[in-house]
Amino acid sequence: MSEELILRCEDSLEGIFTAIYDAFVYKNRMDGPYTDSIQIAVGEGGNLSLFAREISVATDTGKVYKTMRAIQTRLGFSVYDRLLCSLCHFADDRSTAVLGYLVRGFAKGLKVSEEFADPYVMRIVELSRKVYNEREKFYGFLRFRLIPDRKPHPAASAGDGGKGILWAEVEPKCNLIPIMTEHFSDRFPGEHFIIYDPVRKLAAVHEAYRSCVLVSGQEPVAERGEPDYMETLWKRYFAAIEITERRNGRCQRTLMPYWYRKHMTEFEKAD
Amino acid sequence: MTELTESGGIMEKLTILSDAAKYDVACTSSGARRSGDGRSMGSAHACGICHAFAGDGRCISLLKILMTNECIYNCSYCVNRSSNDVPRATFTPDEVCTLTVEFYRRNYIEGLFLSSGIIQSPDFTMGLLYETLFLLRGKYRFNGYVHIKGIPGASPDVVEMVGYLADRMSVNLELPTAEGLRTVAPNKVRRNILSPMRQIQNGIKESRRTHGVSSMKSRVYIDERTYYDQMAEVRDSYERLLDCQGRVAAIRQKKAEQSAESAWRLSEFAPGEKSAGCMQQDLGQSRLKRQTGQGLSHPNRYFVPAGQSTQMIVGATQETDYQIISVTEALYERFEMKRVFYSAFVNVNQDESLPALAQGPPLLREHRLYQADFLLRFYGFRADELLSEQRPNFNELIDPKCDWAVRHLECFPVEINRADYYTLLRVPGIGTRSAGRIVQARKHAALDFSDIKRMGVVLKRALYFITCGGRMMYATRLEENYITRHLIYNERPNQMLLPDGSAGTYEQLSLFA
Ligand code: SF4
Repeated sequence: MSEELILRCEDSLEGIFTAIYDAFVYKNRMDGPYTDSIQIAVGEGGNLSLFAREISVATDTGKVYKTMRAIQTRLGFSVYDRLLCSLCHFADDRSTAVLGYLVRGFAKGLKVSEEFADPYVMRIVELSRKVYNEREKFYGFLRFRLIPDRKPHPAASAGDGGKGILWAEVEPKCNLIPIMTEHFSDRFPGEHFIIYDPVRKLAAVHEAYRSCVLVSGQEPVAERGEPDYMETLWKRYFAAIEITERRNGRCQRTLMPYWYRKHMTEFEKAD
Repeated sequence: MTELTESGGIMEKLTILSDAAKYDVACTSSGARRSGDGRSMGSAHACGICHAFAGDGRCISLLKILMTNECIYNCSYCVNRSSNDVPRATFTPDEVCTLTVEFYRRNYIEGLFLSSGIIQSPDFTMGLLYETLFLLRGKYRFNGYVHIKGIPGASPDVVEMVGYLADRMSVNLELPTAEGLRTVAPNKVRRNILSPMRQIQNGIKESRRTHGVSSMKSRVYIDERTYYDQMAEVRDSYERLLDCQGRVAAIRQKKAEQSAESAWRLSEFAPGEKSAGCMQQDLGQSRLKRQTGQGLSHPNRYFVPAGQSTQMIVGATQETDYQIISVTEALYERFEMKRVFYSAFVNVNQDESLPALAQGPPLLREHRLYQADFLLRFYGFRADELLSEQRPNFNELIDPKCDWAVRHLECFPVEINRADYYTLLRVPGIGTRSAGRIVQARKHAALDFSDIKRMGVVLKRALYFITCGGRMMYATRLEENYITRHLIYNERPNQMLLPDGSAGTYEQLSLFA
């Protein structure tokens, strides 16, 4: 039985990737077969064990990069994507689950993804499924509001002059901003848009025909300009499309629980 | 770009024309996957995306509107029929485009679903839809999902031109039998519905041939290949299943086919060349040539890449569930439909020749049909296995799959660690995803009930039908009434409770039903 170890890292993807790197270093120093005795704790949370030794990990970009590369080259992009999504879950054990998966994956190769009877593999399936589902929901439920330009930007070309900025706020349970922006930049290449998560204070900023950047820690200032007539039209459409003979609020609630509706245009109180 | 302002009357038009479109149920945005092209706006997601759920619990994915609710026809089930005195409105093509693009930018919708009442003539109407679509793709550079309704009776030329710009097309069957169609939609004839369906089917096939499967995959993702592979496998496993059941399927299978045939005389619309021949008679040599020329002049386009769909109204006429799913099966097999939709009849016109439906639209029936539809598409079931002339309607109390299982207890129990994929699929509580996981995972370790539960198997339904390592989960009787009772209790516990607090039996319940 090898010694129990807890690596405590900062609550960010970078922090976790660094901790995974360190975990492999400690694991390789252990003698005897590895018995999943290393855990990664994120931020302040997580179970404290009396018998475990705790080591705090300082985030290191070099290690982050190496970990990413190792996963991508040895297990491929789809596994990388699945693990990245699992790490965007809020569960305390997410990073330990990913570590366990990687230990098995690096030892046995790709076929590890079929071993659904293994608790670590199954945990990754659960975590990533939840994150994928929530992301799928937000692909649909996210709403942009148009913030019109005050004056057409002098540098704007004729094609995209005066189009304004699209602004969206989301409060997902999982940390979706890092993994959901690609969908929107692919769909709206020519738009300026910002997607902001006020809880995590994380924003994705997309400038027309550029790639997205993530900005964290600061609150972007959004000024709402003129009321947007499209919003009024959309609210009307939303009301008109319902078949009242078939009203079914319970079904609507199951498919779209209240917490999703907080930032959705059609559920705003009339002002 | 047209500015839509409060003065333009657009609010009124939107209200009238979305209200009039809402009874069309097909509103998915699935079937095509297309990344953005880096310049124009829009992409498509293979499984579709729901952007909201309306108060009736239906998904809102596309902006579903009519071009106009004027109509020269008089179908008795339809709000827009000519004899109704309702406010009428017509969009201009630019208005439709602006609404679509502006809604899309704000991420309200996944694309457009444009249908129309018939104004002036079918050809004129279809032309209007084409003009709109042409503007939307060209001038507005919209690359998102578009579903266009084929107008019965429109000439093949326009249908073809629309097909090269739309993602999906649908021509509604409207009613499960041609007989029903004659009584409630006297202006629509069978031929005008089935020939464009056949034309679209042939167009899709030809376009896929021209592009080759691999080149299509690079730009538009169509899961056709997988689909056919899977269907081949389904058939395979079905054969094996039949062997083990020792049943003569061929004879029984014909029954559903015959039922569909007598409903629509589908065989008159033979696939492939022959149907081109029948169009030739209708149109004359020269038009046919022009029509084929169209396709060749769009070598870079795909014809209806997301496939075609259709819809039937359920409960307006007297058809049985058996007739309906027989027709469905024929549509999937002989017209290669991507989806068939069912719409519970709502008597919007309070028309006396149609059922009054005091208990509201037949929603449970609609639900059972969708469940059965799923079994036909993904689980390898045949219409004849689910229902027959002697048992023409679905059980209201348990779903079609459970219903099938309790009537075929001789096929159970199934051993989780050995049974093949399609045999697993026939177990209630096991879906495509969990069956797939079981097949993969058991290569590495023998599975037990707790393992398969984690893989998504619904044990409270499956436990009567499976063994793990030769052992059942509980000691249960493999007996029809006993299992049925438990399955009903699972689905709706409150219905089963009798006034004295005890649980009712299946026999007692069927007295109430
Ligand atoms: S053709 Fe019939 S179903 Fe279609 S809009 Fe006109 S009346 Fe309604």
